[in-house]
Amino acid sequence: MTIDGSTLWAVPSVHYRAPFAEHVNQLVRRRHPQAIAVELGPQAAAATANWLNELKNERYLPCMLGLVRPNRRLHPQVRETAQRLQQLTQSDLSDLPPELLKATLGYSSLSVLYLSPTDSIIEAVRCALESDVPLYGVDLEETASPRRRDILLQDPTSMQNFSLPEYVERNDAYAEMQRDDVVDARREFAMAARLKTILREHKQVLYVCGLAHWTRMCELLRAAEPQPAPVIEARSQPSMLYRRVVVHPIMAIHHLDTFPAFATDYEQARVHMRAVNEPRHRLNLAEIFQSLVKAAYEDHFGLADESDQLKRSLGDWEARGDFEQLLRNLCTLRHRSIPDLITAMQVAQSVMSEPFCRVFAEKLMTFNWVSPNQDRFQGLPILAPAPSAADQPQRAEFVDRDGNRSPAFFVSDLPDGDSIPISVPIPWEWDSEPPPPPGKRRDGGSSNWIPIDTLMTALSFRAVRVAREQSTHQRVEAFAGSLLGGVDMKATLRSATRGEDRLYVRTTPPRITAANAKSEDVEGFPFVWIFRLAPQKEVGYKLSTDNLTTFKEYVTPGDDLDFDRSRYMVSSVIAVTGDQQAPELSQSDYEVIHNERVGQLCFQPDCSVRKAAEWAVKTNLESNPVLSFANSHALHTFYKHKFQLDLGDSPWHVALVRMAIPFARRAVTIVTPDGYTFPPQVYEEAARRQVELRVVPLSYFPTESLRTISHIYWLPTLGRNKDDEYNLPIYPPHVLRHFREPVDVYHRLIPKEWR
Amino acid sequence: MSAILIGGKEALPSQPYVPQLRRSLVGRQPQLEMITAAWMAGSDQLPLSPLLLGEPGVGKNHLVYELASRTGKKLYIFQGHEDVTAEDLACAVRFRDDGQPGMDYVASPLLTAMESGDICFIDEIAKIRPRALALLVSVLDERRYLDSILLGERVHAKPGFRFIAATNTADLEGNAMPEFLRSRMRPVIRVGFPDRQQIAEMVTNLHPRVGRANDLLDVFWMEWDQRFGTKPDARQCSPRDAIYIFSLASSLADFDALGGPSRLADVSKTLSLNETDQALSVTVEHLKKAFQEMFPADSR
Repeated sequence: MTIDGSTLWAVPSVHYRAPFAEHVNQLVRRRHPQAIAVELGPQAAAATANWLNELKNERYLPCMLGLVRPNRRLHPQVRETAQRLQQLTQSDLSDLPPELLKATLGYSSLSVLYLSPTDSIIEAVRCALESDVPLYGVDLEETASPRRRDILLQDPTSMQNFSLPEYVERNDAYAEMQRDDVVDARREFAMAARLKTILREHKQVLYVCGLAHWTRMCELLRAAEPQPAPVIEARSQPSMLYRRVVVHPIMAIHHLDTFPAFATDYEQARVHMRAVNEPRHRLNLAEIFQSLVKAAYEDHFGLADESDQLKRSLGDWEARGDFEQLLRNLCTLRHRSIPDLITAMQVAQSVMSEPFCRVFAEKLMTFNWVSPNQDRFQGLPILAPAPSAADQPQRAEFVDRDGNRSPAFFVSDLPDGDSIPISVPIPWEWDSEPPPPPGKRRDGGSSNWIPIDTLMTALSFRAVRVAREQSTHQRVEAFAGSLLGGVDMKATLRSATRGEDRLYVRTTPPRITAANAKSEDVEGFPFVWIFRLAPQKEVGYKLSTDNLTTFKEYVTPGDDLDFDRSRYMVSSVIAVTGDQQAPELSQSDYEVIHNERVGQLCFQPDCSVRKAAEWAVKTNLESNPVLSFANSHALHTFYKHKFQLDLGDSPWHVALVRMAIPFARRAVTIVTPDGYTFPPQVYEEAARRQVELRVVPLSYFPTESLRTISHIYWLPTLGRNKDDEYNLPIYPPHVLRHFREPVDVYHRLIPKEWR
Repeated sequence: MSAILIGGKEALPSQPYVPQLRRSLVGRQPQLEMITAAWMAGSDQLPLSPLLLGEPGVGKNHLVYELASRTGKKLYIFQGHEDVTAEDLACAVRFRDDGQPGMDYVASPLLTAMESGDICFIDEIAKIRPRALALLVSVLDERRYLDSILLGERVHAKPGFRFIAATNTADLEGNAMPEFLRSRMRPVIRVGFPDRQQIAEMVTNLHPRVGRANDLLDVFWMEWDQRFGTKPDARQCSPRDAIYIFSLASSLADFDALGGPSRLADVSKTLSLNETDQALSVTVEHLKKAFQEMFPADSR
């Protein structure tokens, strides 16, 4: 466009999309504009230019950095609502909670400018600095956050060869629908006025703005009004309004083109302004995405262990077709030629297993992220997502290097909560948890994440019912008003021969639901889980025990068990593989160890100390091993002396069942990998003791649940909740944040008597 | 109700459900997109069979109704429960009701939808026992047929047939839906709680009288937070919770407009149970009373 004898090259852009940034880069290298103007306020342009200038020796733009400023304006449309709110609450707006301001006025207290490498405006600033031409921020500095309509625009990567004029012609009318007539009209008027001044001073100017403004800007630039208005070069401006922050990757992913790994490729292919003759390698997003999917497949399936039913690799292999089909279809619906991170992960999470999703997310998230641990960014606060309820919009918070957190607030441009949430790895270690209160670190022990154990108990109860239903034993009971499954003639005749005058009926096996697990299901205990046939040499035992003296306060004085002596009641024997660190849960003064639980023998359902004490009294301590020392050596000795059973004779999974048999009253319930069979010796032992072995295959349970319960984390606790009838452990805040579920989330799934 | 012919045998079809959508769907665009993408099929791809997963009352069924309405297909719903047998999912029989001796075959909602090329929705699928669900396996994979022992026939799904199921999160956690079925029900689409703005929109769509008294929504959230707290793990409000409370508050307002308890005491006059033309505005008192009825203070 030519205005007053000067040439204006404009790049109307879709924010954060690399083809526009690439176009800016090419245009500056080919045309050598004398000045560059961008859709940023003067101070924003100055703050951006100053920071990028400090980083000019970096090969790649460190990412993600951000500039934040407070929001001080409300949209004129909400003026009346704001007044009514103040009357209703008798408070100034500044005193009202941010949630209320967000819900009623759409107000966010902070605006963030993301220094995204794939954004055309940031690219324009980089080009201006590298080619040393004047840079101008021509937009208004502060405006109310406009309420934009959600308009679907053409995916720029869907064009065979990206052509800016063609794209603008096809899409500017749609993009214009996103304009806010009040806020954007003022901004465009100011931008046109300032641009006119720049065009008087420079013969060739590059202007980079959002596509939505372009039609209106053309009209204003051609018209007599507005008159040229003063404008100052960015690097001569103060930038007091803005504060530098490191943006947490979870927030940054919304401001990188398509997926972070693509931004990496963009940076690697980007040509520096001084490298005049260097040809630019054209990026092919489709190829990049396909190579990432292929790499994820190779990583996931390459290490597949067919014997490990929990990894579900075979299931994923079968699901590949559905995954790719759904991805294609969803892209069609969302008018994308290549799936973005959100689409790709939403599809993966809805079709594939969690281990595949983890691998896939890692591939898509490959990026040289700025970490708060790097020296040059250590002083900067991290703009991070704050814990928010699901029915509230996403909030953010500042975290400083000492782990201090600001009150949560809203930022203006995070996606709304309507999306299907995705889970991606955080690329750097989050080591900024606030230190725990001194002296309240632990209660002398550690506890697994209780919901894992509760879920395991719930599934055990369910397996007991399943196994019982499958059991060949006919159940017969005396007639008590209902014929149930019909009269059992044999039992009735047998009773008549005994001189009884009563009917016997067959009982229908009870229906299996989560809600109706009953305390009587405990007859299926001891219970053995075998998740994976891990090699013998990798497996060790850990015991879950209760010191009998701790039972004293929960039993009545009349109970004549000997609770005075310090002996240990074993409630479960856990077969685990070697210790691994869990850095995501560890703290500087406490290392959390993680074990894979490959199997477990439970003599009774997992429960509180109170329930364990009641169980001990009820069973007269005859349903559990009682040891003098709480270790596996003592357990071996106990079985050797009491039952002449050498546990070292059998593989660990057989040993778990053999340990269970002597304590079974009627049956041992065992969940095993599909197709697994015990050696005859086990059946002989069971038959000798008149114990039934009831086996349920692992495939009867959802793989996700099995995977959940096959983990043990030895977590620090801050004590026990005395006010809570379940006496649940109190975990430090970082643990609660990590697991993101209430401690009693699965309590409703187990019988009340065992909660 | 005209009979359908299956392998030369006549069977009575199930009745489709025609949703009376009293409120338009608010939000849920990503879930609608995901289901639509799953159902897209062509010469080289078969439709997938999504499973909706979410807490009770969040609007899983409403999503299905909306899709039935938008696709113009008939919707056949099968309600899952513990006593469903495999044959219930296919076909049942009943005594003829025309006075003639003999039995009629009654095609299940699933069979009817397969025959007519419409939508079958199994609600609360995780409540059905695995041995009954085994029948679904051949319907949901590339075979797309169902064998009915009662009919003695194999029924192939028409190309337009689409399948969807829903379950509450707790049922799926506690009840093991076997892997052979889970692996055929893809994608698993999670339906979370809508945010407060969306709930407000649903309530005002359904109860315009509440919409006119905008402050009631603020009072509603204050009451909710007071009862259940504001921590991230606090109980969340489902659309069903909000709609029930505002429905009850509106009814209480109507009751007051009719004369309230004094009118109830007057046995000489007939009570109308319909919403009155002289409806009073719903007040904060009505709302608080409705709240107390639905969630007594000690119910948290």
